[in-house]
Amino acid sequence: MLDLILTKLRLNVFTNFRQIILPVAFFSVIVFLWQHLVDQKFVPTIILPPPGDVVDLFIAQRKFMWGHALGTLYECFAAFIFSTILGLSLSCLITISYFARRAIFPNLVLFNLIPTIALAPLFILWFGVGTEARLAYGMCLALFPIVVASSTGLLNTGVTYLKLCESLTAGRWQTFFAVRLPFALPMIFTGLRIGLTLTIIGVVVGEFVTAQSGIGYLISFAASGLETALALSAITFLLIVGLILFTGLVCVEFIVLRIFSGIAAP
Amino acid sequence: MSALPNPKHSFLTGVRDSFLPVLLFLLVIGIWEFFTWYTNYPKSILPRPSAVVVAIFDNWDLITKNILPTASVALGGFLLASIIGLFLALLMTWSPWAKDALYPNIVGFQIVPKIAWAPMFVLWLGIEFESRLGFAVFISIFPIIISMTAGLKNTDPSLLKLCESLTASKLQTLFLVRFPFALPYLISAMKMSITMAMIGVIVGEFITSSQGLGFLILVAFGQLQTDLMIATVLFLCFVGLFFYSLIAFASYRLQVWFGNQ
Repeated sequence: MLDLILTKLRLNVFTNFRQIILPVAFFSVIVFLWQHLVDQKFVPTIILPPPGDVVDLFIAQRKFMWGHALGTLYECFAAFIFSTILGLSLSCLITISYFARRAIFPNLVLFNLIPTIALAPLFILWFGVGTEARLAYGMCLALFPIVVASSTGLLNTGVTYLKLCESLTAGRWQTFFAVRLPFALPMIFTGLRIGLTLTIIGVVVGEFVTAQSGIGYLISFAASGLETALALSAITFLLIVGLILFTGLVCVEFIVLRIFSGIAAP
Repeated sequence: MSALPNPKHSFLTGVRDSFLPVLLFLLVIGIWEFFTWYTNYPKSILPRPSAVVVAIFDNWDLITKNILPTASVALGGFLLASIIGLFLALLMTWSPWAKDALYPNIVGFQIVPKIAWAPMFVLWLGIEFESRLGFAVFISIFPIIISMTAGLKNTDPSLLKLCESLTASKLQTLFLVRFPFALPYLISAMKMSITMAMIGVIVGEFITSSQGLGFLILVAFGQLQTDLMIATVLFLCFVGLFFYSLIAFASYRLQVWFGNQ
């Protein structure tokens, strides 16, 4: 018995070790190859700057880039909060009212077909070159997945639970908050995650098209000036912005699911 | 009114259900048309819906000429991404070593907002169609890799045990059992992937291009021809819809084919 446990443990340590070492090794090989290619002048530094340069620039310009990143972070956050509020209230309406569902939902699906990315210039026309345009655009991109996912979640509650509510004479709103909402939470958060990704895309594309600050502006500015190292370190900063936002969302999801888990557990 | 599905599904409710969304749509368009007509709203900011229809017919040649560059690059990028992504997913399922080495890196890489790489592709591949193709492949490959790997992994364990007991080789199991079972995953990933490929091409055209629907949108934007902009966006919808239905049809054929085996 002890022997078996020991073998299992050893196997586990070995596989865990492999699962950590292998990706790191692969990553290092890529970085090494990259450095080597640049050192041997196979590719010009304009196309691919050595990884060391990117890191140096990242450290040297961190204050400057953090300023740009903060603008992007703020815009993404605000747009995401707005689209969450709007999206959740819209899907509430769709769930509560049969009439609204029949009227709105097919139109939403139709709207979802529009390649929203192509609307970026239109938003600049409507809202100017300032923050408002990017906020509105990020919101518009994020709204559809949030509404579609959360309405799907809210509408697909188990029929037995709904029948139970009805037989216990629960009101429409009571059913909504006590049964539908807790059950739909995982689905809602899936929609929110997609929405967050799209918000970031919206804000960055908005900054590509026209902006005087922000990470997207910095990336396109650096790329057009052939400052590839700057562009790559700006992309790294965007990664940090994305990570901050995602970590925040995952924390909120964890807390909310924790609070509702007592209710939602069947 | 009960929140439960309506048990009395008569012909009349059916008619009402299909008319309601159309009615709402027409209402919004009607209000838009009336509002812009009544207030004589600046055409460059919000053109009347009828002006958009007129713009479609006026610029028919211009728009249709620009469909092909966008559509062909998007389709090419999507196909390349599907082939490479499928290959990588199969490799990662076949060899656990490859999976351990590649998968965490791919997932980690996926966290970077991929749209941010668009200017880099222009820098690397130039301002011709190659950069847009490369970016479309890059942006649309991740859904394929990730869902296909998940799909290949989630095969019914009892089937895999059956394969083992029938001494099927690893490759046989992969292609005859795992792959057909992962098809639904592949299809949903392809639907996501074609959308991403379209986004990639349009963003690429925004950044630098001299043809394509994305370019046309920017030109119309520069000349404040908002009606032409909206008309072009409508055509983009049609292209997207066409691709989407193409994949739906292909997936139906694939399922029939594999179902018969």
